[in-house]
Amino acid sequence: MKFFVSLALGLLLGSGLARAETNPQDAGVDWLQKIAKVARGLNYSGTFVYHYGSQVETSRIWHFVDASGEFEKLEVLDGPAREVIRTNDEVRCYYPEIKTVKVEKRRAKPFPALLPDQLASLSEYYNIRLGDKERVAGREAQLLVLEPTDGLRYGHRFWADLETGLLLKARMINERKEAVEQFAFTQVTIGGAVDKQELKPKYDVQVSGWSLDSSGLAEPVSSDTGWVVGSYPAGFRKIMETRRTLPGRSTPVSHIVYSDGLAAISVFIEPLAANARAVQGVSQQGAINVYSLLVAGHKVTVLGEAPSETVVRMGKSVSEKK
Amino acid sequence: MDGELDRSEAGGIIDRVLREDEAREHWAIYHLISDAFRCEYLLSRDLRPALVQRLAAEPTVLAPRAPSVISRFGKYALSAAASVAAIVAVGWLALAPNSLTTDSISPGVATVSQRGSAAPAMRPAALDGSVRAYLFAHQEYSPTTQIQGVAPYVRTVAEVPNTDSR
Repeated sequence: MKFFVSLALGLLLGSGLARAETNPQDAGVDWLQKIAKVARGLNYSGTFVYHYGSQVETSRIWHFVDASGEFEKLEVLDGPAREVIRTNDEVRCYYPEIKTVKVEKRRAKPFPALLPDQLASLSEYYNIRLGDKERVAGREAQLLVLEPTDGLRYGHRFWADLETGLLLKARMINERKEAVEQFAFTQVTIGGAVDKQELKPKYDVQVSGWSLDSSGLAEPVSSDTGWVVGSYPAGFRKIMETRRTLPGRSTPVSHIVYSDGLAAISVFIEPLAANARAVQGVSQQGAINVYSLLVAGHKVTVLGEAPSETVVRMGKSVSEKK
Repeated sequence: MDGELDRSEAGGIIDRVLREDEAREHWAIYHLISDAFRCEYLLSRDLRPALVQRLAAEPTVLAPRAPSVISRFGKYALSAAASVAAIVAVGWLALAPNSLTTDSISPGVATVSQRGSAAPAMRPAALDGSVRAYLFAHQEYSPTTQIQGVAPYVRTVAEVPNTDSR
């Protein structure tokens, strides 16, 4: 009953808004664009909290831009010490406990990849609207709501700084309206100079016997993997298909990526080692659902920021190309 | 939950629920019944472990009904709940044949959770080295990565990786 009342109310409100503003969808998309644009060009530093499942982690972040590019550092404050440092597209993860640095390339297209046709598909599969103005980390923020029009993707709430457009808080919401993951600044300083010293890694990798894992740097070359994913949600498209090496694997792994512009879903296929146990089923890491199954002697794993139904459905549709 | 109890009374009952199996069972049953009456989605889940986890995660907000109500309706409640629970269990098994599912009700983002005894059950079951390598590989293509800079890397650096990944 409550549901219907709120639904009716929502419809009423929705139609009211639609009259008030010529196109709320456009206003929402404008904000998305703004968020994406300023994210790369602003100097800021602050502390944010990351929630997933029942876990909470606090991290510090610094972001700095100058003529030579973009620099970013993230330091996890809870649990084992970890640091992530990004210089343009190169990302280094420091794990002091095991004295390992992992180097990798960030390859995603700037978010959201707002080519006109993708933009059209975004507003086709999400209802995008502006919410209220709320306070986040002591600043006025504009709430932006993206509700999926089907049960195959997550909803999003974005709180963007009213003044600069910087994303202050982001929440991913599952099909039961529960938050599955949230990032939120608790304190943030926007603009002004960032001390470049702050962006240096804490750890001196040269002297103390650290090992460097650069397996993530190998550039995946687009290629036909010989596998097909028969079913995926409308609006998703294949953005990458490759055979790549992964740490701890002797044979290359097939990797196919689908995206609707807001979420990505990866499909991994590798031959099942002779003595390996076939793991099958769904598990969850934050907002990411993981589904594994066995197909024609291969281990197929589908994972992404999407409901379990989506990854399961995609996993079950994987087959070898005839 | 319905504001019938004041703070101190509620505190005592919450302690009991946390401490005593029987009280916890009553609590779970009453919620199962109320969910059944309202046809809420939660019914399709295996409630008990989720509730226990939630209790561990949210020590302040939950209060069951007064014991007198339990004694009056206890008998009926038990039999009704038992049959509902049986259906739930069957349904759940059918949905998740391999029981790898970490059936975590997300305990509300505003809650600062205690890392109590229930925490290990919340850990993703299949997060072995191989999945972690996949997560890293996936991260490179995730569009949400861009909007929050390196922030989403907390996902994958959330744990120290196995050097010998599997």
